[in-house]
Amino acid sequence: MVANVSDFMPGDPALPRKAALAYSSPMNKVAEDSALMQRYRDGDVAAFEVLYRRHNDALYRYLLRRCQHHATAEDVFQEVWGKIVKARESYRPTAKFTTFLYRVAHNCFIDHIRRNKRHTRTVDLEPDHQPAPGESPETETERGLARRRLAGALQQLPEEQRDVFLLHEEAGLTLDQIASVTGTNRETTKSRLRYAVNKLRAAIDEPVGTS
Amino acid sequence: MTEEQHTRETVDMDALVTRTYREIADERVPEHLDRSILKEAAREARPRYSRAIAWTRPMAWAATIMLSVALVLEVTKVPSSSPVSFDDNTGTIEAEQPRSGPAGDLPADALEESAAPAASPGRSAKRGVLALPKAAAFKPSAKQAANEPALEKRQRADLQQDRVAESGLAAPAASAEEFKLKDTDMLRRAGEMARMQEGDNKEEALASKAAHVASTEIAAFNAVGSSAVAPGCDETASASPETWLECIVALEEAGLADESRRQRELLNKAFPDFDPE
Repeated sequence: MVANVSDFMPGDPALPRKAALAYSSPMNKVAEDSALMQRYRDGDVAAFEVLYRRHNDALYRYLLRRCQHHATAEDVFQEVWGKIVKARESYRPTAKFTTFLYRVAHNCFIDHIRRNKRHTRTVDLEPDHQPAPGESPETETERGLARRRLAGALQQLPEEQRDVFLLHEEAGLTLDQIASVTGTNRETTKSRLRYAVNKLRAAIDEPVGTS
Repeated sequence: MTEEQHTRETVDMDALVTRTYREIADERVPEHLDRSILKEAAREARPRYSRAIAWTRPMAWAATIMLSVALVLEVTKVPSSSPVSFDDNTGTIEAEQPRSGPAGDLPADALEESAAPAASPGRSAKRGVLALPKAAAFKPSAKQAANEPALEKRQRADLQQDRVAESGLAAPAASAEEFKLKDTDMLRRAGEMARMQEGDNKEEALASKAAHVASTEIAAFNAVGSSAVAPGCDETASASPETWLECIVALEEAGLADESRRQRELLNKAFPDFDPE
């Protein structure tokens, strides 16, 4: 389980010096996202950059796996951040920023689907994976096969289950937060997550020769 | 065991799924997207104040240029060669006219005399300048003027100045010439009439003369181009039917037909037994 995929590291060279000084303490991390957003609302662009770098890759992967199309994912990704930027004036830190961000992303994706009835899924999302040092060829082959099966199973998952799984994996949201993002109740979310994980696990554990 | 712990346990149980997913999920945002979004964020983060005043500088320039052009146009519109201009300091109306010709050859004292009987000394007597005193130029009579309080005189003078300004001082150049001819003629007639009545009633004659002179002033003023004042016969002139009639005749000769008609009606009402013939 990944809590926060792109957590800010103080040594990150991409981080501006001013922001690095302000956010060097890990004790501040809980309030950081909301505080960064509020600072951005006050005109601090560096704060937004920190916030963006923290969430950009995870959000991109979430959208990429939901859209299953690079260009579409990029469009929706840009739309999401555009809305975040525009919403800075009205932003109130009543909920976790990640919840707010993924709710916007979820809604943008739904809107995109509604706008484009013919939702294309034409991309092979299985990336090239470099073998870990010391990994035997047999192990590497098995892992490669598992990755391929997981990627295939993820694509085959129903939209709702894939959404819940990705929100859990990429955004690190809890069941309640996922329920808040998707607009469902906690039990439904929990059920969908369990179904998704079971299906993915079943795909990974599939005996060789059946795939 | 709480439900959250149970869920976490379920997910932890599938650590293999998580680990396998993490191995495939290594996509990163393209650089151009990063740049584009950060650029947009920076643009949006500019203070509203600077965005609000962004248009003020070109607007200020445009306004300055427009005002300058308007000012220049306004200045150039002011007539450089006004036929008649009113001098506020001296209280004179200067009629521009040609130096040569019959009107230009008239003596200056004739013009001065025609202006007003109570014309103050030191008034401009230069050629081509009709010296109209601020108050006396439109006074009905010299006698009445002498009794007027100073304040009333001043108020009347101001009123007359305003009327002159309203009626437009830019009378045509030809009217100045015409005025001089008429004026000379009227002066002559006024002198004759005064002489005729001199032996009968000195006071009456004086009043008559004053009335004639006032009429002459009115006619002169009218000739200059002001039609704002509607002169009539004063109380002195209307004291007796004879003087009144003379005043009416003077008005007719001055070309004030309406006024003379009105005065004649008033005369008939005031003295129904009087036969003008």
